Amino acid sequence: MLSRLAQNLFWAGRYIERAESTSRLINATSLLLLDMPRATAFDWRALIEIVGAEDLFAQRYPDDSEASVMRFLVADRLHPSSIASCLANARENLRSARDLVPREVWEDINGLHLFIADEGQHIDSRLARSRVMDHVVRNARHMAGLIESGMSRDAAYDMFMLGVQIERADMTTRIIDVRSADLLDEQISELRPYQSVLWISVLKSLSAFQMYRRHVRVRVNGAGVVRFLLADRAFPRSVRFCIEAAAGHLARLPSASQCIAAIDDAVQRLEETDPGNLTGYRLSEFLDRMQIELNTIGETIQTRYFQQ
Amino acid sequence: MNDLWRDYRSPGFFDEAFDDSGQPRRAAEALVRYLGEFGRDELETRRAAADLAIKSMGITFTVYSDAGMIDRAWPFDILPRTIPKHEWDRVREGLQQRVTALNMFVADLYADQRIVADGVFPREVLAQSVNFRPECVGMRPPGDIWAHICGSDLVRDGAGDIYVLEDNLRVPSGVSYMVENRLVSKRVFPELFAQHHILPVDDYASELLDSLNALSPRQDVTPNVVVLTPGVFNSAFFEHVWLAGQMGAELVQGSDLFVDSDDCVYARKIDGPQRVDVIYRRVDDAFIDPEVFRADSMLGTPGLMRAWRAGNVAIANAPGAGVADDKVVYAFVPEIIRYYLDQDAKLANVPSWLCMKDDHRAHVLDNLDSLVVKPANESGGYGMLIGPRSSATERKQFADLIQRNPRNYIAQPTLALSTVPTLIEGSARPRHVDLRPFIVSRPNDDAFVTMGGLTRVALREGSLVVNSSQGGGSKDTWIVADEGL
Repeated sequence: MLSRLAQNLFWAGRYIERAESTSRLINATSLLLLDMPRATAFDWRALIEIVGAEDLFAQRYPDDSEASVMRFLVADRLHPSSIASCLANARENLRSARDLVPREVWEDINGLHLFIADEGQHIDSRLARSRVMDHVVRNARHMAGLIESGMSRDAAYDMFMLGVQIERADMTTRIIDVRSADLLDEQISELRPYQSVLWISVLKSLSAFQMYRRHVRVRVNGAGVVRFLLADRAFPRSVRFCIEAAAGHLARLPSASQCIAAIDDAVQRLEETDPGNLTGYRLSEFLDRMQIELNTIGETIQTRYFQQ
Repeated sequence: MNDLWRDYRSPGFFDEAFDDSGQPRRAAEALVRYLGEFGRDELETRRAAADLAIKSMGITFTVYSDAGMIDRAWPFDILPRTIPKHEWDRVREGLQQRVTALNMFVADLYADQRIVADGVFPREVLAQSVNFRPECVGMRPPGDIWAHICGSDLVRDGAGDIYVLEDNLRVPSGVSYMVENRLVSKRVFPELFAQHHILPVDDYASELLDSLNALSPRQDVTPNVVVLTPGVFNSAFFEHVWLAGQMGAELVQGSDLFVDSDDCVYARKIDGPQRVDVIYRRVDDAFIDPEVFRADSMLGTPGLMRAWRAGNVAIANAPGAGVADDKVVYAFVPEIIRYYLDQDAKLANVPSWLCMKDDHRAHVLDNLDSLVVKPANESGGYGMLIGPRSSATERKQFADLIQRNPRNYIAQPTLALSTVPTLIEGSARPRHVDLRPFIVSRPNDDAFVTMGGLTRVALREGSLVVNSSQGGGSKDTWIVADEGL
């Protein structure tokens, strides 16, 4: 497989996953609002922090109102990680590689790209927004199904899935990082009565609530959620699961030893430390280290396969 | 006969399905009879089936607009065009002769230039040719073949005679649509294929692959053939994908290739560099190697010409082959055939006036309102003056252009292009057509000619513009075996 096409597939996987997880995050956050006391000035800016675009947002918007944040996250084509940008980028990446994925995936991404360009403009009402986000999530799931059931297990598949898994691990880490900073901060006392609601929302934004209840079987609390989302071996959006799955894809690709070694380092860190026992700055330090490990994995893949 | 043919007339033109008395021609007879039994509803059902097939088969072409580029569904008319086999056999021989002579001409220009020394081809025409590449002088590609793939545009005039309108020796496109059109019409009229002996067209990709394999500098290993595309923004990208898919070749862009210190070409693959033996390039030669040609090219691969000159890679069409893809050279083709093959041209040229000749130019300037004026090196119907439809201002503008750069223009009479019945809003209407067959030249063998070619049709009434970017459509072209008639 040509390095260029491998790179196209990897990024198509990442962008589709990013669009889906951002949609999920927006919906979960909007739902959370309904449970919060009216007096709490709910901070939509947390979403901007999660996608790591505080500076760009501050440049482009006069306030951090719900409407501004949503416009930025959903429809703003000048924001490279907005849902509209992600879908446009996924489409551009798939354009050259469209013969390597099932034909309906190309049709889906085209449809979704057109959908968000249009419907992404009508998201000021929460009801409309929730429908738009649902549509993105469902279509992303549809594409995932097409790929899972319709694509031979070849290098094209492995490259696409590698992008999906790396992105998923990245997003999970970002969400925990930002949320735990708020939730574990003893200073924000007004949030304390809502701890459990807030942690449930974190789980929901990763579609993890149901599985958490089945497998963790204790009341939702910070330590349990952090441990589950970072280190659980069976939940498909936990960081550990994602990077182990990525290693599985790499194992089928040629000369992957360096990339697999980078993943092994990250897995080992998760084995040595129980993140559930960490609080405050020690947790945030740990999460920073995980982010660095994930970046290293991404860069190793980049150097090994895309820049020859 | 039903509604479909009842009012069908094409006065003043040669119609390919009906003769002047309104009787179907022999090759079209069975088709006309068969479709005559269709009601309007049935025809509409078939037309809708064709649209659906084109959509679901993903046959598209790319157009540019203010909103960016769009993939448009390929425009296809379901009524096929028929040509009798015995007539096609003569055309095929004519094309083989023509392309053989053109290849000898290009080879000569990059070697001894005998045709210039012998005074048959004017030195000043060569001197001003924008597609002559001095960098190619002295090169001897395998079998002395330069134009491996040629697409020649054929037209019929009012008397039904076939002429060559132009030869495309650079990166001719359309062959994928020729093959796909056949697949669509098989879906739409399966029963007709059972009743007629319609000669198949789908062997093109295999023939092309064999011909490309034969060019490989490494004959001891299975050659690695790639198709080089300018990328997704090219209007023929669908065809590039198609060709690569049909041949099982990798579709690459210039940046996917590099030339190493051993002067060999390699593709960047995830399992490491892979040697490339043959490049079927769909990038104009001005862009293939920024070291030699346009330095600003983002589409090429630095060092490609070095590798080619060293004989480590074959490039089809060879760089420089476009020198014969020039409307002034075109006018000399009958002499070129006589010079190299000592034969008369079997396929006629459209009579052409060369503006570089004083007497011709005077004639052209006096008759701009009845002639078609073409620049030497444009394609796609750009930069032309169609005299009978031009305004006085346009004619004035062209008169200036011609006087300033006479070498760059030729003029031809406005041809009364033949018509073929075309389905317009449920009825058959005469529309003008041309035909582009594809000719694949190969070492040590006769050139392969497609069975028919791509018929392009001007969908607007009276229009002669067949380009798909400008409102043209296409038809399946049937070469009908005579013994069945």
